[in-house]
Amino acid sequence: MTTPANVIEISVQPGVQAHIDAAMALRSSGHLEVALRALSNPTEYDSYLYTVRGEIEFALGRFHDAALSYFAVVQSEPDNADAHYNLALCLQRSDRWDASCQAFERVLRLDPGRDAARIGLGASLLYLNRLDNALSAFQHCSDACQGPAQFGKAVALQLLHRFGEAESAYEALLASDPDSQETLSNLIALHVETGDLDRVREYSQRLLKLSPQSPAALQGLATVALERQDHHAAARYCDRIVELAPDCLEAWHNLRVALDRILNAFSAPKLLEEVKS
Amino acid sequence: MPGALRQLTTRNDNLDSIELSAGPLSEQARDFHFAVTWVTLFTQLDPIEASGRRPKVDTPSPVLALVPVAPMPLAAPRPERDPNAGWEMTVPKMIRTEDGNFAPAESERGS
Repeated sequence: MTTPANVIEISVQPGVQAHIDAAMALRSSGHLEVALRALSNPTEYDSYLYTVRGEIEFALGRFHDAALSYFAVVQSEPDNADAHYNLALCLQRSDRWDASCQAFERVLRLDPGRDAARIGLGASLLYLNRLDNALSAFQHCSDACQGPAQFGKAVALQLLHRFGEAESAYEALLASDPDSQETLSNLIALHVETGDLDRVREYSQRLLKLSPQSPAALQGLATVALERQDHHAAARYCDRIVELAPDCLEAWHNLRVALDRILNAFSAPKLLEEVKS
Repeated sequence: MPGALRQLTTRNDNLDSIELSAGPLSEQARDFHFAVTWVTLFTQLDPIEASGRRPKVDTPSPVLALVPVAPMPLAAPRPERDPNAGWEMTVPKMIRTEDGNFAPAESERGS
């Protein structure tokens, strides 16, 4: 077929889909950087291309770049709850707590049943110290998301100084997951604040069994030993802490205090006797 | 110098006055910093991977007034996107006429 004389013919090869296919294949084989390069200069806007690009950037830990990609997607597809959710996660991991809250709230307007968005919203609200709002977000989660919602509730209650309720929530979590290290660590912090040294020791010992290098467990045990004048134990725990965390100034100070007390307890009375005799 | 020796001081060389002084012994232990953390929550939050292109959703336009309207003709279904397909654009050649307007080149030739 010949082109009429009055028609100029312009042919364009479809590049976008070919680029996406190439990037997907590269991503599947683990070549994320190369996959990202395949999507770096799109010739035209394509929301799917930006979605895939955001996914790869997220996987590479480039949360700011991923946020920009997902932002382009939500601009063209404002009803795309998944894109809003991914944008919220990117903002959260870029420490943009306030913006992430807004994005999570948009997700919940589009899809009120999305528990993960409530968990994310609650976590960001905790960082913003909007503790009552965070507690409310966790309380509105469905039973399907009970574990993380319960944990979020416990943290919000602890930060609100509602220690009794927080402890009950943590205990319920430990009943279903006795090896939850963060729950034990938060319980140590809770009982240090309430001054219940028996509980501090109990949870610290439990945590130390699970994680022999846990700073929270060693610090909990050192605190109990120092308070109870068990200088040898205090020195032992502090020595372990400075070995694991040499920049922990409190541990260095308390190690010296414990050693001084040990030396004093052993040597001073003997020396005093010798001098007097 | 061991801590215990540092505590031992004499006053006026009188042995009866030997005492343990209030020196570094009185130094108090410092509180450790116990942080409340919620890292567990973030481990529950993973991005959602797209399973493919999103289907176009026709959102109904909001009703502004209750007036009788003629039914809209149904839009032809969009063909499936073919990744290997090419496309072309035809641009008619135009010429400027004497009165400043534009006319297709063919009609100019015919006139």
